[in-house]
Amino acid sequence: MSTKPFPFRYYIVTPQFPESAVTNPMNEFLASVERRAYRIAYIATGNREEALDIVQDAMFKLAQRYADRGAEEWGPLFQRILQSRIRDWYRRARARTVWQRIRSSKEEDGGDPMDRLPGPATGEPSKLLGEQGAIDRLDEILHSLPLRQQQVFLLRLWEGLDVRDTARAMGCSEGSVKTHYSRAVHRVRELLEEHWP
Amino acid sequence: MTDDQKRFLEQIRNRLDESSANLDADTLARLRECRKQALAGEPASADSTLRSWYRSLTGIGSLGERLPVAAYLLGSVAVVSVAGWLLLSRPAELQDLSALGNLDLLSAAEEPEFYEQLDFYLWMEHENEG
Repeated sequence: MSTKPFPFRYYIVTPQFPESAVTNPMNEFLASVERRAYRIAYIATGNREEALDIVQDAMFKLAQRYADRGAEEWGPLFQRILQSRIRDWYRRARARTVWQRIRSSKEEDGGDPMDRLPGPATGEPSKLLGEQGAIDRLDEILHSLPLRQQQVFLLRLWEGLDVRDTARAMGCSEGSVKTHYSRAVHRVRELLEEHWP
Repeated sequence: MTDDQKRFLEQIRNRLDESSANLDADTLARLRECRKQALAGEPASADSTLRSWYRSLTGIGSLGERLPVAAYLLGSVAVVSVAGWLLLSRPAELQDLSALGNLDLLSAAEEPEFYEQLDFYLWMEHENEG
């Protein structure tokens, strides 16, 4: 197996655990990836609790099964586990959608009609909403992408993986990665362009 | 890739970096807790599937919100279980009588009054024969 360092940009280190970080390399590694892992899971699920569960699960599996591997392997392994957990979540979400449809159809039968009126618009331009508004809008657009496009977009653009490593993390072909990335970039630009100068 | 496109993607990357660098304190604390638990050998997946189903069914997430609903669900299950047990534990002959004894009456085309006055009709027929 290659010992080439993985091309992640793990430069954000949580400063609250300096003593643990010195004594435990796995803790140091997880601290360096947890924020981005959480953001990727959050964009995929749109739910904080689900995202935290996915991150904890990926951390647990890496620490339990691969702690004895070389630290340079942890990056790709963690990313592969994380993406796998997100795909599992999507599969379960499809089944849950059936229940949600049943629930929503029951709720529509009764209750206050005012409750069914649409909420405030969510697509305001970032110029009006500021930094957080722009990030929320970006989250919204990325969340709306098909899962494969979303994964490939974040892995290629944000994590800085090349085509081969992205394909390995996602468990698909390199050709598939190129196709999904091209479509994702096109779609994100189309949706975001009107809000970002 | 054009310069314009590169600039656009760089802008997105910067936004994503900002979003992870500026996570709120509560989320950071939860992440530290997740890390501690993962390193201590505690997976989230043991009950995350159940929790996910629960969230989607009830739309609520915190423990304080879950307890009343969980109590309600448990209570409902208990009531249904007791009712089922009582029904199944009835003596067999009673179940047979209740099921078959009324079958003729329910399936008959005649009015219920006919059966109420059956003794009278039987007496009249006997008189006529006599």
